Amino acid sequence: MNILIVDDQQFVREAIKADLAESTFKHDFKTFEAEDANQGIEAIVAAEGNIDLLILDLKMDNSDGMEVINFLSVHASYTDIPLAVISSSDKRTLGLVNSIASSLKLNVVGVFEKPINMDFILAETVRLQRQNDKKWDVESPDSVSDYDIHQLLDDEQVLLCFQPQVDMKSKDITGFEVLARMYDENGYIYPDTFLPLIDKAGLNVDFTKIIIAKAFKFWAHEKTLSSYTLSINVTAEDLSSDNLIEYIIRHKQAHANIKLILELTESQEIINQASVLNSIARLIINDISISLDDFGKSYSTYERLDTIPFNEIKIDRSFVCDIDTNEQHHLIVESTIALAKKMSVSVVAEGIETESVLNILGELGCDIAQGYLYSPPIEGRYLKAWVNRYVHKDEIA
Amino acid sequence: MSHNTRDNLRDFFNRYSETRRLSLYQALVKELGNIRGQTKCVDSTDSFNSLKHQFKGICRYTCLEFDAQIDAIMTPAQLYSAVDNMFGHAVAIEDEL
Repeated sequence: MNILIVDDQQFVREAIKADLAESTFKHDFKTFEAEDANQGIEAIVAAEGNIDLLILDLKMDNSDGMEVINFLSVHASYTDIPLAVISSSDKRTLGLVNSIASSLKLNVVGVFEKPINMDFILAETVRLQRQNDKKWDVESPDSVSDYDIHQLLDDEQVLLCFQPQVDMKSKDITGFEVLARMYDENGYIYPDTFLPLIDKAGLNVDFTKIIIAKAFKFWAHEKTLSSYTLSINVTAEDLSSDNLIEYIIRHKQAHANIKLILELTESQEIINQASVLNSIARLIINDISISLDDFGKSYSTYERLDTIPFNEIKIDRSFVCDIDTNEQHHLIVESTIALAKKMSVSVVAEGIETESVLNILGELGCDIAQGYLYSPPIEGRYLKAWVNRYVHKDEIA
Repeated sequence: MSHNTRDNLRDFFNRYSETRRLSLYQALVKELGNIRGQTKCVDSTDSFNSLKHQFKGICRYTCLEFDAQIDAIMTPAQLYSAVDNMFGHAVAIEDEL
């Protein structure tokens, strides 16, 4: 796989190469380097466009990434090159460049702030190429077999990402939701692929245990994160396992300072079973908060609110993402927030991608925001850096 | 730049295998040295901003995520001081890598 890195800073190029070497993707990466736009263009021409990923710095000494973008746009044979623009510039500039590159019909993987998450960019590139039905001889996730899932779990090939949750009023970070990715030699395997296989193999509890263990270990190690809540998804089926409940409670007791929230997905029908309710009671007694995830998706949502003392509800993203244009969704979200207020339950809205949606949720009295507007899920090793950047973003120069 | 710069540098290099660490370290020290040297003879706002931008890129990569503090650097002397400080920390951890 040919990767061209165009960046004027040797240190950044070395860091990208190091990230590629440590990547969960086990491709044979062949990297080419250029330190300005002209060299970058020369490299593209020399390779006759045979580049599987172009990583392009936006602001370089004596030149800028726009020169390369404009070059690609006027040479039809190069417009298909997957393009990842990287920069330390502010988000508005990055957004503008994204719009320009997309309007020029380039094959844009994305526009990314430094430091970049190389695995994420590679995963996005694979996804984009699949979408375009192009090259990249990568095993389809659909072909991951049950045996692979057993093996992946045995090897704990699970990577944790964390998506921030932000207080709507103060804009302070309140916590993070843990989102798992599995990986094999081809890179990330996303939940919509591996969760059904785990379910089919009857490995839900084993999987949740791995998540709990890894998340607690990470949170306990990163002391600066201890003030934030740590939200982990569990299913009602998980709560049927006494063994898992004991496991979770043991971890919580060993790390009393970790503010654990279990997000209970509501798609299973067994939630009202006595054993499940008993488990929830035990968790609450042990200072573990319960959040009702995907609120609104199931017909029995309100019954559960009545039965279980949830601390928080999360409004499903399908209702949130378009409340600025969908009147019905606006009404549903408005009613849900009003109900939650009356029950003194905190409301988290997930799937926020635009300022417009954020502003409406603020007007409706939503408590906590989560979504790509703030950040996509962040791989653990980059989390501390993201927090530092977010916390210091408003400091006056 | 006072936020445990040395610890953050250690953390950064420890993410990588030993073979990678050396080339990364050499690139870092070389680049910091270049920026520091060029800061001494800055002759325009553009060149000052360019050096500041390069320093910001390095800080982000090494998890010294203090954009606001870097944005607060208004003069070549301030930039020199910040770069020199980081250079000193980088040199100090060389034996640990």
